[in-house]
Amino acid sequence: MILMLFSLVFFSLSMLTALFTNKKIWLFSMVAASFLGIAAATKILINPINNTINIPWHIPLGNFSIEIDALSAIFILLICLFAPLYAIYGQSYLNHSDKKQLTIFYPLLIISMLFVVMAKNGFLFLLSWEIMSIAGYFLITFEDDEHSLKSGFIYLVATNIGMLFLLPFFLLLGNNNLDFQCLSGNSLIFLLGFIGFSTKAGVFPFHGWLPKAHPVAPSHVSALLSGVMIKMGIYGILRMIILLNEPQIIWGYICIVLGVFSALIGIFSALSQKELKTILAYSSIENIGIILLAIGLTIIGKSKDLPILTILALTATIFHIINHALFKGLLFLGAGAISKATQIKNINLLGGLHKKLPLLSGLFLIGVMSMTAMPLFNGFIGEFFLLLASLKGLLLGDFFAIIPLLSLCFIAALCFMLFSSVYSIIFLGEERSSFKLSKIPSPMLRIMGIIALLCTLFGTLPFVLFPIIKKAVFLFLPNVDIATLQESKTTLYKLSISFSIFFLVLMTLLLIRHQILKNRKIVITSTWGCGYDKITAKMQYNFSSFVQPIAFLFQKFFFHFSNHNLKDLFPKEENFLITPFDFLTKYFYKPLMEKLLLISEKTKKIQHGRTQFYIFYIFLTLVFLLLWKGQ
Amino acid sequence: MIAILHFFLALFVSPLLFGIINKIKALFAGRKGPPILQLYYTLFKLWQKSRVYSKTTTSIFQFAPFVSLTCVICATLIVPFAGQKALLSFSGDLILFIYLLAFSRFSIILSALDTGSSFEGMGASREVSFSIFTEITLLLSFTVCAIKAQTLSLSGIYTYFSLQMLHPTLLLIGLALIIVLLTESCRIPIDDPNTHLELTMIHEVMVLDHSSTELGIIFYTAYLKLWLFISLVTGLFLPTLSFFLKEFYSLGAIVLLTSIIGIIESVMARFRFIKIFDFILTGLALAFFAFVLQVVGIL
Repeated sequence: MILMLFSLVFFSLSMLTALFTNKKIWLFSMVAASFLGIAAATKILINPINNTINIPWHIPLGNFSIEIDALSAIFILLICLFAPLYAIYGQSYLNHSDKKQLTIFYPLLIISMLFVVMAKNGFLFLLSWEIMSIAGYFLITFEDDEHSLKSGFIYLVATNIGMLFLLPFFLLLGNNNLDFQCLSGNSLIFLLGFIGFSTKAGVFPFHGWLPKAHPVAPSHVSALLSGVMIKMGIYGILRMIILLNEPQIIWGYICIVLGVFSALIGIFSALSQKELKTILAYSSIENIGIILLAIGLTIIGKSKDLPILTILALTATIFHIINHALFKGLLFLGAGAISKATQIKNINLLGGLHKKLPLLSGLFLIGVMSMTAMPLFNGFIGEFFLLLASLKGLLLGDFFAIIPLLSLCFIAALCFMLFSSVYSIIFLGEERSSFKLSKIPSPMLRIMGIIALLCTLFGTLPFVLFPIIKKAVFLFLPNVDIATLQESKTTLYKLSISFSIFFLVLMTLLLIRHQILKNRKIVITSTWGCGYDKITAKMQYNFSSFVQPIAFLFQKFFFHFSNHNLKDLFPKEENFLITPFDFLTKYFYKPLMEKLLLISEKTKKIQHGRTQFYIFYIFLTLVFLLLWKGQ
Repeated sequence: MIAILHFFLALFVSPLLFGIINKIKALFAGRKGPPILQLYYTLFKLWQKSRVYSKTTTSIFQFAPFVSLTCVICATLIVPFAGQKALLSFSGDLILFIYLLAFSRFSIILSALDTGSSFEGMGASREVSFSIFTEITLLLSFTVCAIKAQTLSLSGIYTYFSLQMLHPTLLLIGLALIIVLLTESCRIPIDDPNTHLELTMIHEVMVLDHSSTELGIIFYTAYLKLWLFISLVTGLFLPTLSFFLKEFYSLGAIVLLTSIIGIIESVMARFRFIKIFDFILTGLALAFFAFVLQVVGIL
């Protein structure tokens, strides 16, 4: 715990040094703080003694109490791993003269996230939650132009709506004492908390702010927001399940249904975007949906008392939380590097970057393969365990598990389509427009290299994370027997064995290839164009044309095709455009907002700026309070 | 030990299946047709040729066929033959099987888009669109089998079925799997492997620019994949037999199903692009129907 405190001190130090613009000390204290944080979390994971602090304070409703248990430790590891990496990346990514807004609020965001995952008192939790949200706002509006301010505003509104549900959640949970050990609740309370937390996580139908807010921030901040901060919502949901102790099966169903919707909406919206960072933001919604599916199965397993299902689903949850943070971080950093090199945001204008930036291409490819859950890369492990958990649920007679099973398979296939084409359009083929390449600073690539290495490490040897998962399982199922746990460990080993066989076969084939093709003649020509040789780069397939068959198939639900009627004998110039069809905004949020505006327009009358009347309001309130409590 | 033999059997015999299909198609057309071993000769010929690369392509184009073949070889390790345990089997290997095939597809798609040709982009786009539905059908079919056999490994499932009486649900699953098979290995009515117009091709158009050894590797991967799917379908209907008879029976069943595919190709035309989705979704519907029957417990 001392280590953790030191870590917090160093983070605060880096925030203070930001005021005096010393870049080196800022970075140094950031890195030192993270190492201390990682050490603290590891120590507590190995030997959970001395992991609480409990001090009475003057604020009502309980003590200032923080504790690091297995779940907190996992999230502390995540936060402290990415904080310094992104900070170093950011140093070379941004060359603005004025970076104070970033250097102050970045550590503040980290500190508040650490407090969120450590807090064991409702008041402290809400306090750090709110600081986290506000720090996030200042990072999102970093660019300070009209677009980012508008996105930041939407973010702020969404955050406050979440808070609206979290406040009654905590107030209803505890009577006069918000310390976590004396909380209990029912389904209504679960629903309040779930809405509050899922607004932060970007779950359908509270996801609208996410794809607006995340892409406008600088890339490394988007990586932090998408990879780590929205996971705080997931942390909240998991913590709530532990606190409420006896989960109802209906909660599991809610999680699964909303998870399916989030994932589907996320992936379909991503398919009709053109900017890489927006695509990545939408895919965060999809991945949060996948995590929710896993959480839902965990709840079902626990309430139906099927330990094996709970263990598998929880394994899937934790793997996917960690893996998504890794590969989404990598891809966001990659997006930053691409926009730094080319200054182009629309991926339909890119192409052929592999030849010019081979290293970036390789790193991005690793991110993409993790994202599309290819075996040997880390995204696969989470999806594997989620499918395994659903299958296990089906074998045990819980036929509801067919929904996560089929929807995950469908979503994974769409994600495969999305990201295989995103990578190919950006890096392969010919350049679709002329652009000037500027150099990517090498620290950016090195940071991406570290994350890519972790992606492959956790993908090929997933059992290295097993000890963490074991601790988390004990938190959810205190009296589970080791034998059931052993089964998922064996599966992890078997997966690693399969991967090593894969690697061996691949190496053998490549060796044979090298031997026989060494002296073989190579002829270089142009690509086959059906006999036509005046092919231009514009004729290539682009992202929109690649996804067209699926967009066409699902056009009723998710897409909007622009009118294209090439009818006359000599058709005129035509545009063709696929845009996402956001039915939620159209049929729900927009009418709601219009009604709200109407009401506020009416209530404006009592808010006219005359001081006498305001004093009169205060007087009336005082009288009312006296009458109410003074009897 | 016997599983290793099965593995090598798959590696060596798989090109023969395409030879059989071609022979049957030729017979229907009233031709003599190429010899049944023609594909071995073709592979050998391609193996020795010099390479032609487009100037647009990168190293991804050169390595992708090998990654693809590796995936399918690893999938072969998982698929059991003749009711025997496969070389690699564990709880959940059926998920790995599906993802390995996806990985194989991923590498070929990348190599197709690497050429910058819009024909190959079109082929890749179509291939992915179909695979979205075939993957679900495959997973759902495996799920029904897994629930019946109460195990999550392919070996376990197929060993179970080799000891059981023929089950009506299996007919539905078998039909669904055949639709998956036709789609995944790009046969008529989904895709015509012999078409000569780039616009109508699906799988073939993705490999237009490949040549020499790499083209051979891609062909061989397709042969192996067909073998895998055919043995997955025939394995469902394996009766209880003694040791060696099982092998012969399985081989016979594989040849039979291959001939049926040949006959389908000879008597049917290719579907229009829009109709293909209906066809694939029929497979999904069949598998889902089997699942419902399983849940309700009628059969």
